Amino acid sequence: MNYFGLFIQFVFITIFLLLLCFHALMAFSAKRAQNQTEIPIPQFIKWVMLINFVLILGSIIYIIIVRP
Amino acid sequence: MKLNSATTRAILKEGIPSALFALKQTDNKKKRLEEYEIIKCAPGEKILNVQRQHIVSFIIPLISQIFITILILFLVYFFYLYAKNINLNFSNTIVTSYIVLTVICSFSLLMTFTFLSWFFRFYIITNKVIIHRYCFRIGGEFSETVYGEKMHVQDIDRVAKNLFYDLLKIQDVYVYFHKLERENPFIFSAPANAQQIDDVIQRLIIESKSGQR
Repeated sequence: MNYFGLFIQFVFITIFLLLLCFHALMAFSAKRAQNQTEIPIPQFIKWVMLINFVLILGSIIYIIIVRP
Repeated sequence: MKLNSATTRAILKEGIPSALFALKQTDNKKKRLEEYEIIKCAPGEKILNVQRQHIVSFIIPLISQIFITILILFLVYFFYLYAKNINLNFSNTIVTSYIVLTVICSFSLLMTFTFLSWFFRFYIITNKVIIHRYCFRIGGEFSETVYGEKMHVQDIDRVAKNLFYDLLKIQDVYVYFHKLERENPFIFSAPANAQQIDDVIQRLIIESKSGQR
């Protein structure tokens, strides 16, 4: 059992989970700002945020499946 | 798409390209920033001017983030080439792919954060107050407000931050008040149109002196 590889996986999964939390906070803050100002968030940014979410989630799955 | 009198006149006078331009303008009619209810106005208060920071305030950090990301990716690549010849306890190709994914995701998040910070940051001038409102904040809303009835403007100054901003005619607007009322000036940092802000505040000062506010 490659414990060092497991440790690396654990570190990177933690980093990506933190990025996911930051992304969620950012989406929540953007929604709150939109509600307060009634200015809609541009459509392309919504797409970018969706791509970010898919990228982070996909990276987590990739790190879990592909072991160093 | 509606064919209105402006479009018909454009076709008759200047041909199809102008008509297409007129049609495009009708379709893409966006609300001005002043028309959104960014702040709740008190009775008798009306919004005179709302501006964001100049788009360059977003573009320069974005470009620097892109350069830093490219630099980090190069460093990771050189590390990968160097580590190829060393016998490690793990696959350095896979770890390199982890690092590259981390850098790309971080850059993407940072870029989105930078854009939203710029997009939801406003300078608002009403006939009663001057507000700097920063609506997109992870930690809650930030607002700096100066009430015109309590403060008296002593001087307005426009200064470019650096030579590059000076070339692009992007200026900060410093609004100085009486020292006893407010020691530090209220600063409009790189607004979209510094001249417009200057004009609006000058007009407010003139109106208040003539007792019309």
